[in-house]
Amino acid sequence: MRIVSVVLVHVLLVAVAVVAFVVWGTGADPARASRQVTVPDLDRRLPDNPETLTLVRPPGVLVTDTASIRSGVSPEVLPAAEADVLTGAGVVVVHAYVTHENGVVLGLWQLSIRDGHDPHTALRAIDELYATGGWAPAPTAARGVLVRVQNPARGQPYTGYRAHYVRGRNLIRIEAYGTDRARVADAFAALATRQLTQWPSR
Amino acid sequence: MAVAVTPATGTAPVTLLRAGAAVLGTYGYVLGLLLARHDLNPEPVATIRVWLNRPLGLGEDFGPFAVMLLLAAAGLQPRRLVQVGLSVLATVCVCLFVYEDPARLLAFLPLLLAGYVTWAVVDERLPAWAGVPLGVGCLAVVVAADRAFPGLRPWWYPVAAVFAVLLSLVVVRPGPTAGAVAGHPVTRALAVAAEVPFVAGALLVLVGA
Amino acid sequence: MRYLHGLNLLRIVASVAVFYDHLRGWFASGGQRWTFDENLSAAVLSPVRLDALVGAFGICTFFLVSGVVITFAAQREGPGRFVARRAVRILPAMWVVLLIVWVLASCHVQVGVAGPVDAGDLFANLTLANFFVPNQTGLDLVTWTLGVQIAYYLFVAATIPLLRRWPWLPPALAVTLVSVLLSVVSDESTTATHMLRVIITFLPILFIGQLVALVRLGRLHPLAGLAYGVLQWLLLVRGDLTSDLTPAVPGYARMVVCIALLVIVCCRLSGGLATARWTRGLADRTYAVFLVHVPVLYVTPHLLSTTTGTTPALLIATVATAVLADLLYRFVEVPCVRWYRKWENRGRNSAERAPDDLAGRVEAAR
Repeated sequence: MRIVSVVLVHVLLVAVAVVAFVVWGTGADPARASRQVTVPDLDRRLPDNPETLTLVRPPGVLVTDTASIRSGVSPEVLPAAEADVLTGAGVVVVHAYVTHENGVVLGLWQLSIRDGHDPHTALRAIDELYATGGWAPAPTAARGVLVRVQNPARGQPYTGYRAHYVRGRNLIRIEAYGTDRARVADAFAALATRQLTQWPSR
Repeated sequence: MAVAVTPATGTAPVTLLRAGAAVLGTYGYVLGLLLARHDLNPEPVATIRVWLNRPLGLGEDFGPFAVMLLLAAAGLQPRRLVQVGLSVLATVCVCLFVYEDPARLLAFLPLLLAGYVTWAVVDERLPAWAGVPLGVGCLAVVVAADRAFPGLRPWWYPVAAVFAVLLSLVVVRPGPTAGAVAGHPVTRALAVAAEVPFVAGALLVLVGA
Repeated sequence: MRYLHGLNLLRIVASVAVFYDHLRGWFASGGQRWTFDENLSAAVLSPVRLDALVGAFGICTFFLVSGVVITFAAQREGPGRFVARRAVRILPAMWVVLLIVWVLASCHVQVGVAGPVDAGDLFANLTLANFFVPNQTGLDLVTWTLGVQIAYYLFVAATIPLLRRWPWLPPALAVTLVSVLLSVVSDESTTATHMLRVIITFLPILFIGQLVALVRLGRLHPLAGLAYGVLQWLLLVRGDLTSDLTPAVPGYARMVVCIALLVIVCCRLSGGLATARWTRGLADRTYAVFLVHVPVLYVTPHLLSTTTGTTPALLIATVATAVLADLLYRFVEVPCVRWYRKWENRGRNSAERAPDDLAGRVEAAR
């Protein structure tokens, strides 16, 4: 085939692709706009944006890993009351690691809030939900972190810790629960220290 | 400048790697570095970062990858001691003046050895069964440096090292087209001056640009 | 056309990678830590950012290698024969595995099938319709990759006449096709559109393999191959940037470049490990391993909680996979291909027969 014909064919093919681009767009999902979470990109020279997943890996056997899935999962995976509160506050996608080790269940959750919603609203809303549920505030030296604890009671053998804080567009949850109170407290403290050292509140 | 390498490797691989290092080094350590120091992200650099750098996992506008290509090329011509010395010196300049972090040498210098091992295998001075583990060992040193120095971890140097080694393995047996590209005057000119962008980047930092 | 022995090594590594990735889920489902993986991830996989991409490495490698070897096959086969040979190669083994899994699931054996199954599920899976029709139970979820492969085969078959005369034209068409389809299929809210988007997103990987083959065959200028390859890679990036769902794991773009470079290097290998008999034997069984390993792993996680520990359980699961894969290869794949070749050559003398040549021997590849 002559060079001219080859060039003309390529021009035609490019034209077809361009027309498709103009008519139908880039291929971006139109529903994305309502779920848009603009992740801060602090250093564009980095090979990856580390703010897309701001969770350390908890120790122990991995029970749940939705953190490796780029799209995460819906907030519907959470208990109904939490899902309602968080969805109302703008949470659109959840990434999480849940593990268990030595009788303690550990969890790290990244709850991403869509653009136009204030992550601190979600922070206050979830903390109030836990307060309403009888979880007592627990002291912490970490700035911007709200910690709640549930102690064992009649018919409820578990000790549980829930800490929430905001980093960028994400509400981060650190949790630990189990029946051995001391072990749960130690595991929670260790996990919270690791998580907050690497990904402090911002 | 005739780059005297053994007949097995020829001059084309070294020329191609050095030319690539020159282009990417200029982009990374002159243009990219200037933009970063002034907190700028103009087009088309912004688009290149989104469409090339991030998908490839090569940060700093290909700068470290360019250093690794330069060193791999130096390793492919072990008899050219002056050339090797210049490449190492350029690397040292980058580590000391651009990064102010000599630890980065541990992430870069293994590529020199990887290039040498590649030369030795291709030139049949070293059997492949020995060369492959040695080459993997070079990558292991980069990985070890990445683990030992937490400041290096966000920059994904092991990823850049893997790319540099694979690219070296591909170009080490160039076909006629690669040979023709390597023989082009522009390519040869870039290869001759491959160390310049890295030294220029270091100088830019020194003069506070 | 020289047989590409080096690609057998890659196929074996890819098979191990996919198996390894699913072993992680196997350990987790058995409630056990896999210390070896934790150590390997920390020491090796995480620094080279392969931690979450082990399975993706395997899949990308299979796609790229398939793109290469199928292009070699297309040089010597007409469209009809091409489609028929590919169908004979992949469908019987898939159907046998799906049928067995369906029977086990119907008998309520824990084989990794979520929920009850009926005849409709079987039919949907046998035709891969389960990936397009909602509320269908998947019997062997790795078969989604065959949807991508089949789409590629159909494109290659349709463009074989063009490939013979103008080898640059199918790659050029492929770039336009993927670009247009990416623009058109943007909504992934339904099962069908999501699967379509998956196929479109991953097709560039096979097309890059096609380009490697065409350059190697001398049918496409290397610079043209590089240009088309860069365009296909950019389409892979575009697919990634414009979707939150597909690919499910980030990092495919850099993986594809690494594997493409590896493929080019491996295409040159012609001695040592690459040409060993056992290499060929293992590589020939990688498709069977791919099909059987997930059901085998789902049947066996309970072994992990025995008092004998995880090592025996791992050995049993691995040996079971190897044995079943070998049985599938020997008693389904090979006989079907042989039977079909006999049927192809019926009534022909030895001079007229379709040669048992490179194209025939790369039947082992998908």
